[in-house]
Amino acid sequence: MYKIIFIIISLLFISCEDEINFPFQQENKVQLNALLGNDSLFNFHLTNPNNESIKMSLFANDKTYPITNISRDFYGIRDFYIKKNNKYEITLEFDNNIVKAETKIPSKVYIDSVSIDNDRNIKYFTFNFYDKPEERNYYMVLITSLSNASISFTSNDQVFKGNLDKDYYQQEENAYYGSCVFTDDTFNGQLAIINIDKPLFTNNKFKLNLYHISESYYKYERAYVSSRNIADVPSFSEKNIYSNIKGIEGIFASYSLDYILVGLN
Amino acid sequence: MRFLLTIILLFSLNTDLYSQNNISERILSFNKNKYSLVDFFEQITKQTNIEFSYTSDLEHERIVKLPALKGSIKYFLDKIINKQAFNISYTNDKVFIVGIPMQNREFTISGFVYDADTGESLINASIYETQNYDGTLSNNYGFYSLKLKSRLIKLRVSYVAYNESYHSLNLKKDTIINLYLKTNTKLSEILVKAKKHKPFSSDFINTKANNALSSMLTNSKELDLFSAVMKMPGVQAGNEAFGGFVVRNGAHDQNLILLDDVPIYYSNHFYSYFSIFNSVAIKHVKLIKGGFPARYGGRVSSVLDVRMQDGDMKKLKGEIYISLLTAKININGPLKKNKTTFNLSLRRSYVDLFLSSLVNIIDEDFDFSLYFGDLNFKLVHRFSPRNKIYLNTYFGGDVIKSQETYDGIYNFRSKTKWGNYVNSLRWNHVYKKNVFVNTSLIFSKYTYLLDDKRQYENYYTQSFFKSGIKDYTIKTDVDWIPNNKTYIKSGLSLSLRNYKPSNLKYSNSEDTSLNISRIQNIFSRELVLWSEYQLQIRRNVKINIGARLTSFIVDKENYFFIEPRLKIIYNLNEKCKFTASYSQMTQFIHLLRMGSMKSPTDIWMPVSKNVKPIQAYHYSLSLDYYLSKGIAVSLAYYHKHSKNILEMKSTSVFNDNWQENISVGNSLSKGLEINISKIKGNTRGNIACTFSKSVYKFADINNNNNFDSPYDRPYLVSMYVKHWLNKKINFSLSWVYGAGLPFSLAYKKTNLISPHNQTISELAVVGEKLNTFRLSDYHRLDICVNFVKKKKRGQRTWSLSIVNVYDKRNISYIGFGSYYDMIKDNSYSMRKLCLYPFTPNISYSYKF
Repeated sequence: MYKIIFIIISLLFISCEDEINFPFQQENKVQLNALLGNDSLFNFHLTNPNNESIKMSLFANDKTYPITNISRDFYGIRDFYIKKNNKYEITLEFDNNIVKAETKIPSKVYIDSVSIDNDRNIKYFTFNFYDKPEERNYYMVLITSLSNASISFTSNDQVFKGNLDKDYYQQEENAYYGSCVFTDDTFNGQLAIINIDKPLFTNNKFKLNLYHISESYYKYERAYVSSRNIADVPSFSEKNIYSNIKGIEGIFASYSLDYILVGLN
Repeated sequence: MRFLLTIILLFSLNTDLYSQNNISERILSFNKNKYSLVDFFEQITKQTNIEFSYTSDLEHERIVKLPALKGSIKYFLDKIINKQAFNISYTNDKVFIVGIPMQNREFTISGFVYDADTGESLINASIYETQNYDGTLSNNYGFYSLKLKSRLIKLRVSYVAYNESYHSLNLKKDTIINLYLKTNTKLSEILVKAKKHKPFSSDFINTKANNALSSMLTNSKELDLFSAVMKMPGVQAGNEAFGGFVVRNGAHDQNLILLDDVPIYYSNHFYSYFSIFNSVAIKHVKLIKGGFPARYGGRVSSVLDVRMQDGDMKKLKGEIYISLLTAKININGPLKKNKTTFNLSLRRSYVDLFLSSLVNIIDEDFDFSLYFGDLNFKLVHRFSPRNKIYLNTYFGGDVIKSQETYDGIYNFRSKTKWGNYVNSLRWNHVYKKNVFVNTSLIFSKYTYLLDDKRQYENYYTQSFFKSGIKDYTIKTDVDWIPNNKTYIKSGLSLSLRNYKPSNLKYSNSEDTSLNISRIQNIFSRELVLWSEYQLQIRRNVKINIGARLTSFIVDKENYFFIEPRLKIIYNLNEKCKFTASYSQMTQFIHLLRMGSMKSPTDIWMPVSKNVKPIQAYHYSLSLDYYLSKGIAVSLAYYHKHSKNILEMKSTSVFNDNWQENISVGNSLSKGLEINISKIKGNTRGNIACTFSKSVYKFADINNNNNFDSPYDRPYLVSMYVKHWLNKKINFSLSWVYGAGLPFSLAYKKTNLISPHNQTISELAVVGEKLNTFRLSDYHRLDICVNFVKKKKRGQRTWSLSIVNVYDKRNISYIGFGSYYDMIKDNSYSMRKLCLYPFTPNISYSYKF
């Protein structure tokens, strides 16, 4: 009888939590990551785990630019410049597969002005720019040091929907927390005025970068930010990282960049 | 389209059957409203030249009062001549009124079927005449109507777990007779005499599986309703503790759960440990998985129609139940004998009492409590044998509270509440001997509230989040039973709904510019007209054909749908029955899930301009075979295709732009179900096996490739057995074994890129395909032993039960300690959590 009681009590107090291990199942798939920026050189990163012979070419302005035969992982920069409003198509040929993707470089959107508010306890600054009315536009804001090191920042501006709000994360589980992209839904075709908190760990001067991004990159950024955020939330539904290159992995997207130097006292 | 034309043709055919020759439609006018019958005929002849031929039985000298001064010949004759005693036939210029021999005259017996001891109305009781086996089943309010030829007849009445009874009467006129059945107290005998009797059901849903479900609930009050439902084939829990039940691979929100006709939006307590239904107050349960009659709509996978007890008509009764987790009490009885009854049930969990103390011992600065409670009240008043009124109220919910304090400086408190508030007022009226009308006013509300306050010295933030749905419905349903081979049901309903998907109020004492006040209100209107036509085509073939017309208006968008329904039953012989059915279903509200776990923060949203209603096309074939000794075997195959189902694209979190974040896709489910039930004898039970496949396809998820649905369980076996050793001791055993559910894992390292720095890619662990992993097989054994003893004033029962006897650690969900800790060289580790380990319980109940 004592044994039975002992077993029952033991069972009751055994933890309901256990550890399980899952092996990585690395599928050997080709991956291409290429972000085309206006007035930048074309660069890309190709992952080629099986060391296949991959023929890659870029198509723009009715002209095909063969890149090379690539048989290993490759970071490449090609010496031609990407121009705004142009359409680019990439083609990969390997192992009887032909994979294509395309992107159009968004037009450059200029930061109109920056104003700094030093009167409040929480310092912040405001910048504005004109949004084009014809289409749905996607943007991203990044702040970097003068030497291009990334600097974290927060903002309670409504365009970020709480994703960069330092208080927001505690209020509600937010899969997009940390996402710096936004759409023009709230200011379509008008002057956009965006508030940013004073970046952390900065001296007086920093660089405010406004990226006008393609829809594909917007989706890609949202997907990987949410993937990171919800990885340790038990109830999340796992989703794929967005890809616009059918047949392989990765992203072929584009942006136009404008930046301005900002000094805070 | 072809199907629709068939329906219209059938309806018009029916109209033809009832239409008469042209002369019957000739219009007459009179200047006074009283005539002798013979003068009345003369007046008609004067006006129309139509002559009358009639028998002397007609009593042509009697004075008749006209119902109006103007009308057709048919109208006047139908009102004046007793059609049960006389046949009226029309030729070109003559009307013949011929007496029907007494033995050929038909009269209607109608009334209600009641429990003899409590006066409770009995749903789906079988009533039939023993010579020709003409019969019917009582409807949801216990009403029946049966047309029989005039003679000495013997009626047999039976119902699950009741003694059958016989009533002899000499039928010479329309008769209202209420029938009473006594509860079967013997263990050896209940229900089901298949024989030649095939009652023409008012319901058309009376499957063997539903008999087994009723039997299970009647005999095992310790079983939670959802536990019993999940013993049926084709029904599973989804993942344990994820809430509700899943029918034929449809998501939880695709089940229409009705509590006395009122739709319930959230049906669990304690994260699914209990359903909201207090089993001691349940009268009848009906689960419909396919072949949906037109009266049901608004969801695409199943209907669970739960009826609560009306209350004892004769004396005050009740039951007290206490277990380690909950206590419940039920009191019911007459307020006015044979006129007014009430039924009140209360339940509350009290795990918070010791959980709070335990938490406080571990950390004196931290308070935590979690509890649920509910109240169920029903009032029934019989104004007359033809009029009854029902008032129902349900109020219940769950509460989680926590508070944390540090040195009086930092103070954090949080309160989360969710639950239902349901009210309905229904009026039953028997207009004629064969017309039954139910009119209902319904209010149903589901609310989720989160109140959170954080204070640091004089600085505080407070947030208040509210989400919910309010449903106001008025509806009228009519049952018309023109003869024993036809049963017509029709209804009209109007629902107004108010959705509050995400109301938020946030205040910050230091910086008021951060304050948020967001109120969202969405309104919808739903108008439904439905009709079912049940026909006995041949002695062994029955058909239920119907349609449901719905207009759903939201944000100036009007959706209009016609949903055809068809079910055909073919009785091969006395023991064997085939059923084939087709249903088209439409669902106008979507449940947006905050994660794979069904949590109370699930948000109900109506369809919109961009988000279309879910449409499901459901085909099923089944075979029911009655063996002997109460053993029945059922086989069913189903095929269900749904379109416009939703999945969140890359996140599970709701925000203002939810329509942007969802993906719309299709699902396909098919499966084979086998059910063996035994509802007689000292050992009763049910074995259900399901083999199924269910896949999803979304244009922008998983690269437009099919993937296993989150409810895809290729095989599932569930078994429930109850055995009475004697009148004092009985025990039950429940076992379930099924394939693990699929789930997605981020299982791959990949490079990421950002425009900020393109030369250094990031390394992350991401998923590539969805639902490629499967949890380990799920299995669990539960047992329960009941010790019953008759006491002076009632009956007491001690129950000992163990959930998960052999402590199988089924995975309720998987989580990670921290994102970076989980990644190892060639694998990563996770934590699996089992919410239902070995759990003993003891309970005491006293029934008086």
